[in-house]
Amino acid sequence: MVELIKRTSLRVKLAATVFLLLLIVTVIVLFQSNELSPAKALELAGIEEPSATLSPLYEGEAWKPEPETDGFAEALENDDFALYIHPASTQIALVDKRSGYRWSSNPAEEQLNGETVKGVLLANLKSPFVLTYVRTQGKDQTIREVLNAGDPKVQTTLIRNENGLQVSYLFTEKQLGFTIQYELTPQGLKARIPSEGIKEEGEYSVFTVDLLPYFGAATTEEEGYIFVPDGPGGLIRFDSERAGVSRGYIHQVYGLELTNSGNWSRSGERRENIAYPVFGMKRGSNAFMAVLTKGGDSANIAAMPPGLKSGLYNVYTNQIYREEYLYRMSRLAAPLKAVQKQRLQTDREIEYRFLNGEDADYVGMATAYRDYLTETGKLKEKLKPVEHTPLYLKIMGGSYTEAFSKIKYMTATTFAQAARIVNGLREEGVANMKVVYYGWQNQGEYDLYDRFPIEESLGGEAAAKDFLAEMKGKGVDVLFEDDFVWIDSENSDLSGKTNGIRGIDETVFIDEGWFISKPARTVAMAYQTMEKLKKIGVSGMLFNYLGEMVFHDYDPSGIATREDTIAVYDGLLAYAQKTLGSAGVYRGNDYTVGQTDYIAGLPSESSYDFMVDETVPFYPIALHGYVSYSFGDGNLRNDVEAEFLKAIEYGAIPSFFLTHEDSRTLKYTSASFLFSSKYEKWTSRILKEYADFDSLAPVFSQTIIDHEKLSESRFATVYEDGTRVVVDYGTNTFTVEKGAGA
Amino acid sequence: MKRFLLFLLLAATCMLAAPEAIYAELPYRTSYYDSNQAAWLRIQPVYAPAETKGPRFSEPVDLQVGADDKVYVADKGANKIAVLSPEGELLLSIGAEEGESMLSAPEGLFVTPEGLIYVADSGNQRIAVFGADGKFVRDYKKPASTFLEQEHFVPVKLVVDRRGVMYISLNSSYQGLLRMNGEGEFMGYFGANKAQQTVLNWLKKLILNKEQLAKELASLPRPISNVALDSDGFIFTATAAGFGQGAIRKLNAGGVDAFKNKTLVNGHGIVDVASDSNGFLYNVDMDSGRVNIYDQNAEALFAFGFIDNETQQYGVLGYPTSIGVDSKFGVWISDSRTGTIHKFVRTEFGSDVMQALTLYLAGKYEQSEPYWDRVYARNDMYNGVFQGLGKVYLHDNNHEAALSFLKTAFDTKGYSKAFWEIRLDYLQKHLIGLAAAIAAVLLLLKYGVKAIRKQFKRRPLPESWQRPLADIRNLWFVMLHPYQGFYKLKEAKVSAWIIAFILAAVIAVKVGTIYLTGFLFHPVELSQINIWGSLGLFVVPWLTWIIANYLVCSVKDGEGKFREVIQGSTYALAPYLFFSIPALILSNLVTLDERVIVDSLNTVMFLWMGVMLIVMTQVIHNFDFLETLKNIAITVFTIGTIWLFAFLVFGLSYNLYDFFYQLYKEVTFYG
Repeated sequence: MVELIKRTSLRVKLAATVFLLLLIVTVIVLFQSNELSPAKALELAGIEEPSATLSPLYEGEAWKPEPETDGFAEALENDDFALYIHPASTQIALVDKRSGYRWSSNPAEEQLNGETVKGVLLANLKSPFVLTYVRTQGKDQTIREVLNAGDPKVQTTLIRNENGLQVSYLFTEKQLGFTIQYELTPQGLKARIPSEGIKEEGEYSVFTVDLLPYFGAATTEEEGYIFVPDGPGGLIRFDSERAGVSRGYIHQVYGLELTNSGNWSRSGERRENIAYPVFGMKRGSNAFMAVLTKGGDSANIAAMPPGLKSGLYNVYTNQIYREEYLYRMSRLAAPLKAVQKQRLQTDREIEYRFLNGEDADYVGMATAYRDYLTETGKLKEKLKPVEHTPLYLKIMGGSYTEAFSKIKYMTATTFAQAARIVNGLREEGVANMKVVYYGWQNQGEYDLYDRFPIEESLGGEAAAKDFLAEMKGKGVDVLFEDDFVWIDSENSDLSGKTNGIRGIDETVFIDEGWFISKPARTVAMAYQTMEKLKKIGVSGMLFNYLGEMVFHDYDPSGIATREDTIAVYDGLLAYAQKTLGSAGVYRGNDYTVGQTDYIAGLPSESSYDFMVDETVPFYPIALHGYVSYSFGDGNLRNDVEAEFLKAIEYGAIPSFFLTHEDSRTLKYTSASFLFSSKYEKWTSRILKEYADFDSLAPVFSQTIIDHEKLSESRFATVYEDGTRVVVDYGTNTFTVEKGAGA
Repeated sequence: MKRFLLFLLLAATCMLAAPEAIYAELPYRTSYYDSNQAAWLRIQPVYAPAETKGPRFSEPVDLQVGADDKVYVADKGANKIAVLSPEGELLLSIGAEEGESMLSAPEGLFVTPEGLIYVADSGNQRIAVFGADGKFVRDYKKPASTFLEQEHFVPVKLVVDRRGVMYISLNSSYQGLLRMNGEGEFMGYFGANKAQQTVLNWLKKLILNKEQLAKELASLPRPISNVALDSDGFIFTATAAGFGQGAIRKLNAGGVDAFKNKTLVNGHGIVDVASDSNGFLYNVDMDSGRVNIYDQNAEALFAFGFIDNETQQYGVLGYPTSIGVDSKFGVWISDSRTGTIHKFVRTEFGSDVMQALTLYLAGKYEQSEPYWDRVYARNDMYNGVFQGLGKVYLHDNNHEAALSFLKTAFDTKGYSKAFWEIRLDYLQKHLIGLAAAIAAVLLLLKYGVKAIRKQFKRRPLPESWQRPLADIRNLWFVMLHPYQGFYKLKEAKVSAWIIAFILAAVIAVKVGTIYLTGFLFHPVELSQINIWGSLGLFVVPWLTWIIANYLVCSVKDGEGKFREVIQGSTYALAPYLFFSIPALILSNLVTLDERVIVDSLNTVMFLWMGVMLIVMTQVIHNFDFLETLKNIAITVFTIGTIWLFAFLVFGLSYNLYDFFYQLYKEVTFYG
């Protein structure tokens, strides 16, 4: 070999070198053009790199109010509301001038006389906040201690300007400080904790802050309830006795932080994660609805019954700044507890809207929330009226399994069979249908980084094209379902190290071999997939996980917060709507509702909490007429009739999840939850239910204006034009009374 | 699609799974037990939690549903007995008044069909009896008996039979249930658990003398943790620990266990047992954290619910203490952690499937059909439905359908019956044809072989073929004349490719037996077989045998060379080649009644191979017979040693690997 090189002439050597270089360059170019970089994808999809803008602190002279005889001084005022502050204790009170009702941040002295709690708990009751902190030095850095406004070593500074009132607290001994800003809005009050105002200059750091924990706290004697965002909406009545509640209702918005293994220890707990950051309280003929307008994704919504921390019912937010996590030194050693070093640097803001009279109930709260969503542009246009209710037909193409010691794709419905199912239903009278096709990727969801070509055993791209063209001809939209979030590291070439999100310990988060793609990589994969799917005629995508799962990415270069994840996901949904025509998500967390046309599996059931006494359709009331949504698929219900009636009551549209083959084909695949999905078994039920759902077609684009419980088993839902739907769970029937406006 | 994948996880193993989003689902999962795979698989809910607006309790420790569906609860913390309506409202509270009716830490109760309430008044060391109206009737103190002088009478659970005889479980007593008649007289102990016999105990008994034995901790029977009585008068005892062995015992009046100390699935942490009017059993198990349903023979059917110490949800139990079933099959569970009573009610699907199972197990196949059909409409993955409908079809003489359904359910017994019918039918229809076919095959064998031989004689194969063919033909000879055969083989040098060819044929036959053996003899899901694992289990022992045999025998002055050992061991596999194929064919033709044919064929084959190996060792190494046996024993020991060594090396190198892996992780993710 050496001889050979020596013998060749210089010209040949040069030519060979040039040729080799060219080859390398083409290879690199080829690979690069194949691989879309996340940054480029964000740019192409028109999504801005998320960057948080933080609210500034108020500057200026300290305000020295002169309190009136009750100790409170008026701080802010607008047409309907006035805000008072007690300068010594910094308690606040808000007067609703429309009704004259006074909401206080803390219970009055008379109420406190009846309290049995002492010490710190009593001091907390008198404070507009409770700050929990941990040490950053010393042996155990996970011990939590609390500070409140009653602390003797606290310095408070008030600043008032045209925007609002700012109260700054500085705990001189601990060298900790933070600030609350209050602003009046036409509907009520905003309270904010600006990130800029948090000072951690000593050996202590902020763990969580309870903001206005006892605002509006009520006694058991009062008439009313707390509203919590459990499932579609949950009420905690002041007058009910319940089983041993040891923790109260305290849950993080959008669910616990996934990458924190400390959160897994009780994962036997299966519950409906909070999908919308709202809480509320009704006291007699007055009520408030509070939305977590900023930083809600890093907050717990907490409702406490009497007997846990005080003798009162209270509801508030617990703002999370750091998490405790389990730090694993080695795979064999027991993990240690530690507290996250870096603070989450996001503003936290809550907007309270006050309601009275007729509006002071959960329907009023839901309406106020809808108003908030439309005012802020989070809900956009109303739906267009339809002649017939749309039916979402989910079709499972198939899924993979390990069979005969290799990966085998189990075909459940080919494209041709799917066309036959759709045509069959159309002929039988299902006039408006939308199809969601699952498992179309090469080998199903085996490797979700490498999903093309379209699975051959379903008919491949050619059959897909035919199917889509036929459906387009019949006016049936076809969405493809896909997951751009979880990647199986064992089956995929995509590197988890550069593309997977990091847990609090800054290592890549891997759960049973699967990692979660960074949001920008999700966009890159989705962008390329949509490019190809658009060409063959797909009219939308149903995105798995975008609507139901958010997370922090603790990248060593800086934490990308849940807020950043949400910004990217929203951008992707908007892009999908723009490019393909429609986008759908599961569950429908509040951030998606403006960019989505269809929500599958909107929360419809409670979590069976001891605390929650009644389940109400708060979220459906807020969304109906703006976004279409379905609950559990008709053939996979636990209770066929009751869940059907619930869908009618809550204004959902029908959905079924079908296959052409026996579901048994999928027994050993990830689709083993399709207990019974064979088309032939369900045809008659689909037709019966469709006729029922179709009788509600006129209200498809209307908002719900009222909902009431007529008796234990009868409920009425009223729409804009006065149409009244009464559902009776006792007789398994429902009636539609046409409204005057129809 | 990760969400969907997670559904595959078995319920019992979900303690450490990432929190995930769920839809409109209960706070727990429901699974059914697939006894063929010995695994819990997912199914839709059979029971759903019902929210009971019942009163709060301080520490409810025992619960019973009376004949009138009233629920009786012993509240140890509040020193009371509470009587609840079927809806869970408080009707009556017993035992709080001063005087002789006052209870102290009652831990158990029993309600007779007539409504008499017997209370194990543990704190007062007595049994107190109350009328249905809550009036104190009488009490029973510790019975006077010389046997009981050493005993503390602290009753914790009890049942009372029709004659008024009490069976009382005393606090951590290993002697079983104390039996006391209606007059308060001691009638002996009843139904003690068996003492645990361990190998260690057996060794101790063998080695230690009497004095030493006396110093050892006695191995006592496990105490009975709970008792229940069914409508037929059988007494059920619940006993925790022991990995479910004897977790539920069904005792007749003579104290004989109808379940024969059976090992109960999900029974290691059993808390309590109850039976419904159809004889199905319900248990709460702390170990698996589930509520389990069993059939009349204590075979596991379904599991639902969940146990979590910090529960805040209906349907998730904090610390379950007792279970009861009402006449509408509602399951009631007392929970001392949350001080509440949980109630579960059957779902529509649950009612259908339980009704179908009830009729099916009673042999009423025809009546069970409509229920099975409804279950089948809602779930075509549940094995039970295939078994149920399969039996129904078998009963209806619809054998083709029965065959397919029973195969899906892996029910070999039923399959065998259906197959027998189909085979009979086939034989009757095609008897003449079959006879003709067999005759034809026989003739073909007779004359065909002759013809082929003739052909070869006329046109002999090339010279180079003769030797290999002879080597292969030699397989047959060696099998029938092992001594002579191996002796000849020792001198002959069989070429490597012939050996490889024979081994390949053996592997091919092995693969054939894995995939082509009749369903009755190999009832497994073929697609789920780990072929490499199965082949490994076949090949590795053979390889280690060769190595160990060569090593041992060369140390022990055996003459055999390594090549000879390989050669001999390969030829010793001859019976496998010749027996497996007929066994394979027969396994597809016979039913379970005739399985003895296939089984004996297999047994003969393995014995023959064993003999071949012994003879091979003797001939190749030129040992005498006793020497051979000794060396084979040493060889077997060596094989064990090699495996142990391999296992140790693997274990240690895994630790080393882990060390480097952690180092790598540190460097890449922190550095």
